[in-house]
Amino acid sequence: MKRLLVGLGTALLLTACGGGTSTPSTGSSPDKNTTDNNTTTNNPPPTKEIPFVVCPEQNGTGSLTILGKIEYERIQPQHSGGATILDTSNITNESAKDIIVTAVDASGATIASTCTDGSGNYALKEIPESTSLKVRAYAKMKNSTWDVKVVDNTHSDALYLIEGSLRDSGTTDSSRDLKASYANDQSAPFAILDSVHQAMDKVLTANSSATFPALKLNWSLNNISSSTFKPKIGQIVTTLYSNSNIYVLGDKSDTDEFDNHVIIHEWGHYFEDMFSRADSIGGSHSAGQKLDIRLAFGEGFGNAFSAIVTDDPLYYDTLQNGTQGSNMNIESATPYVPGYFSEASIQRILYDLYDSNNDGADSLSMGFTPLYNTLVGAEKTTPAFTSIFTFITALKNENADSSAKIDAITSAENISDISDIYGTNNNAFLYAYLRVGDSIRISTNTSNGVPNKLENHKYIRFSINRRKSYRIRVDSLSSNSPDPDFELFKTSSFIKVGQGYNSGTSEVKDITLDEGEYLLDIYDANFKSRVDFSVTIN
Amino acid sequence: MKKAILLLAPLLMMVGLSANSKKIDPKEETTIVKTISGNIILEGTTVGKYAKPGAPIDMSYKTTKVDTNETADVNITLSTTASNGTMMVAMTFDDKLTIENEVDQNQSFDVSQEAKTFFINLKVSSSENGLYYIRLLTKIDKGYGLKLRSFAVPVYIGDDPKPKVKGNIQIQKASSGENISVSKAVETIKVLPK
Repeated sequence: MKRLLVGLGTALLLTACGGGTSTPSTGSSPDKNTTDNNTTTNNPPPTKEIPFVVCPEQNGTGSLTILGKIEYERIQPQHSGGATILDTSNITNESAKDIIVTAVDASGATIASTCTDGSGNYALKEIPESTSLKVRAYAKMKNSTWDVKVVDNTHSDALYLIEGSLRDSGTTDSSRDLKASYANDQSAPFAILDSVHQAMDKVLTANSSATFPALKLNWSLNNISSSTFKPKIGQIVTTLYSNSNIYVLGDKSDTDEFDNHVIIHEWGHYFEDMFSRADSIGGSHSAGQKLDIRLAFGEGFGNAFSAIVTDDPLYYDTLQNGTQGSNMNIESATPYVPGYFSEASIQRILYDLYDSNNDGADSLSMGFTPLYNTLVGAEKTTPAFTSIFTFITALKNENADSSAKIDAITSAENISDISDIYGTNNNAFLYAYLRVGDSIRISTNTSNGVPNKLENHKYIRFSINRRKSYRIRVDSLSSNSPDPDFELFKTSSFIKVGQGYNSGTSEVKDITLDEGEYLLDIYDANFKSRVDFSVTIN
Repeated sequence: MKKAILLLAPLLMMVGLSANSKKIDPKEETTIVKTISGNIILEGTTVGKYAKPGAPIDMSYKTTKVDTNETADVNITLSTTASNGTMMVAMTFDDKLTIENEVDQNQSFDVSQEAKTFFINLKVSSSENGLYYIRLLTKIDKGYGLKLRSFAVPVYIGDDPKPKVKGNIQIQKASSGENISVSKAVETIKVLPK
């Protein structure tokens, strides 16, 4: 990765640091202990070179240079069948890429600053002679393209850093290498940052001019799988993405800092939030379940994205040292209840579209760029809820020559050829169209579980030709005391414009609506086993 | 699912769970607290909360808030959407949290269409103020691979209980005013030839 360094009022310096995408070593080693079902394949399609990244550099006021390398220790995973452990006998030194490095004096004032390159090397320039200073390496990447940092959410969002000793700069150039050690609980922030770096690199291969809105990663040894969200004391529910923050578990019961796929999965939700769109309703989910189509796509995408970024289809989630965690093969896991509602089906489809390993029904190797283009284009503006239907419809429209091969991949997951964004060929009853002034009867059921499963929600499309106040009414036709609720979206900019959350067997709301197309999401808040509703809009 | 639970205890707090939201973005929460028969009951649930890929298991709990050297009742409910298989649970307890009842820290439950909810009842105490955790590692094998999910049940002991903070943390202020967490690196220094 070439990097253009611009000093303040100084000469331009061009540094070549090697080419290709930087990749932390995360268990793709050929001597990994795996069974055939979990053998990873490393057949990445050709990638574009990562573009220039401008590092904010500040030189000192002297004549010396302090060079060095910043590294962190990473525990490698060891896989055995469906289990993965963190192998503390296999700790590797990894480069801390594109992080901020400073020289500070005894009072903490900055003397000079720079960034590491793709190999973790740095050069602090124009350092004054005979000055007592120490080098600091921050868990932070900030330049013209991105702004990412790792903080301790249980200690006032303190930014993690490691530092060397306060030593005299002398009268000649010197080198100071720093390493964040695992044993001292230092390496986690840098490992997390490295995962994010890898994900951003992948996006840049598809769009070299992409810029990434600020992202804060929150990690602490106190971050625990709680049922309440109180990040100041480490109760973060789980590793998750929310509002430009990723929270990462760090408690010994379930550490995620070295789980590359887990972190990149959550970064995938950041990507959806910032670059694309995701209408997922969230909640717990698992492979083998029939999920709401929005949730299925969101989670399948996250899993597939982690495999795409790492070019490693083995998603793993480890626990504390020595305790077995689990893994799943994004590509080769045996389909179990496949379909458009299955996150496992969707992750297999997306990965198969991407990879260059032609297996089974997969004869496509599209790479990441076509998928990226669909995600940031048609998927972002689709008037239907985001699902495999919206994604594949758009992908086929944009890659017509590959349509038949795309259909073959989806067919292998028990999905009939997708021909529209509403999935009409696969489930004619998910979406219904209601003409204003008419009424329609729909049903929800809990045969697949609750509260975010297939058929818990039904969707109604309607059109408004004249701006005025309309009454949306949902009446229960069943006698088992359901409680209809709804959310209303205007689809042109896909924004929520109303909701009905009152208790009772009817939900009635008067809402002023502009001209345009709308989507109603209707569900039974009491989640009765089967409920019929009558819906009218007047 | 709409919830607004009004709390009656001296530690009155109000919680609104927005499980209705399209995206269940977590908001800073306060623990649900109720007073029943003079006992302060704290409760929480993972139902409706975001979950990373893992076992299809949710956890709910109710614990009594007690003083030091008093016994807290901890009632844990594990529910699964699986229809078959075996759910295994391994429990560990924070240091200084004493288990007062006889309980098998490793339990298993047979899951079926009729049996999807399981209960674990514990009694614990501590001689020191603090926020302690009971950690549960749950596993379920549904025939397409072992799936895991971890949970933590908080137990509040004493007045103003705070969590035992881990880590050798040194928080400072950078020259920019930003909070920084500083630790000493492994360092190698060399003087370079002129």
